[in-house]
Amino acid sequence: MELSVALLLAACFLFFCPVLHAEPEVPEDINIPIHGLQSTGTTTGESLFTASGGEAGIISLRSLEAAQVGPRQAAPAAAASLRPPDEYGDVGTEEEVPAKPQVRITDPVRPFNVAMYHFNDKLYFWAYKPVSIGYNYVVPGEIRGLFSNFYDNLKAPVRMVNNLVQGKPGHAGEELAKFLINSTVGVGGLRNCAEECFGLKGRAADFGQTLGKWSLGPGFYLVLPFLGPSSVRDGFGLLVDCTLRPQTYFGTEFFNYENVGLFAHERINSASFHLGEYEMLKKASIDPYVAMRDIYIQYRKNLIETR
Amino acid sequence: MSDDIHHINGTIPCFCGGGPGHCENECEQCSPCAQGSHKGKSGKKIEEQKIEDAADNLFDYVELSKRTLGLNWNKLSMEQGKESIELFETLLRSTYIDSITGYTNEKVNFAKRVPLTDTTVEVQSAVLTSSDQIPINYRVVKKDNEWRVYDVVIEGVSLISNYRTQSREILANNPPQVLIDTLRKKVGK
Repeated sequence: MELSVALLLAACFLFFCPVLHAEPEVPEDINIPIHGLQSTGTTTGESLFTASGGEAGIISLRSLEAAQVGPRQAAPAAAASLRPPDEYGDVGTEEEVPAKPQVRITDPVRPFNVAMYHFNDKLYFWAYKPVSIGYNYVVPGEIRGLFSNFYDNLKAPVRMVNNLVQGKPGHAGEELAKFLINSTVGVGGLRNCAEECFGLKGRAADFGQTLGKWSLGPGFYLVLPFLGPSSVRDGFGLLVDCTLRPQTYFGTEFFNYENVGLFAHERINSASFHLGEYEMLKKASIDPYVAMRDIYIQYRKNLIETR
Repeated sequence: MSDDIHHINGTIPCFCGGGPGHCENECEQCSPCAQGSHKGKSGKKIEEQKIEDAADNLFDYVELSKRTLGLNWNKLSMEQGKESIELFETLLRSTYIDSITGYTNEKVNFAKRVPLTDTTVEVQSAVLTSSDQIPINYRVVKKDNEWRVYDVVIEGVSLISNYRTQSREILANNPPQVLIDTLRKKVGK
């Protein structure tokens, strides 16, 4: 009962809140004026980045860009010609060498997100990682693989339903076949027979992706505690997907030891295969928070548009 | 969801490729390095040197750094520009070495080459790890009759775009020297 009320409220929020309308991408060359803001003082730059309402922020940014695009276009060229030519030459504009237009997501609740980022960071290093290392040591790889297959099989209804509503009944059928084969021949999903023996690959799908395919924008960036980077749309999608996962129905209430325990085991089991990757990201990035946000939005965009 | 992110995080530094033709050869050189034929600390140093040499033939660090800074490149002074290139080079090289030495025995399949413009091509490949298949695309640019990698795209996430967003965010509120100092602290100079 509470779950359905929560879902209804979230649905209203999603569909009526103007903040969440799809944000068109800003092509790279229009970003020039942002750096011009340095001369106007840091406060202006900051207020544009941490706009309280995503759309308000976008509007002010765009009007600024529109106002500045004229004189600004001359400025970089002039600046470039003032600098003596060096062995590196000048960087070309994006039109010369095509790159994808810069994918961005607004971050109006940045202080909250940064706090959650630090919370998740500590959680990883103080909880997930030591537990995963111990788990890795105790449980051999093959058994962890079995658990991984088992949980993956339990997610089959999510994939089936989402493939169907995304208009891919072929893939939905493939997922159904995979689920049936793995549950029977694969002994309750422990072995991924469908893929190994029959070559059925299936297609990963989640409700956030479905909403994206229906042209709903990501909303704004949201870092969820325990779950990591997400967005308003994808967080809601996660909630909806949870209703399709059998683990949610274990036990009597929404949150209780049984289902939280199952979800936690699933996390730790999958983390055991990816130890070291988070540390590598932190080492490779200049600003890990921004790096994660950017990776997240690029990945989700690719997932929605091309897969 | 978080699993997907970590998955990408680990593979972003894992790049190994070159230009069309040149690409497959260089990658084959990288794999034996990763398989650890040399043992011990001095052996590790030899391997790292081999990987570094192979990487220097593949990556156009100047192009990578310029594209990361984007149009801010023209805002930097000559010394700052030079220093930023050296620092990015060190950062990329060290993360590449760390990731390559961490990966063993992955098979790489090269799929097709998609021309983007007259001088750039996207080489598509897939790395087969024990659990699944990761699509990695390399964007190569032709300079002085040599093809070199200027961007790596893993599951839709572009390395250059990622670094560019990070540096843009720093440069939006701080003078360029702050970025240089952050990089310097990062690479430990």
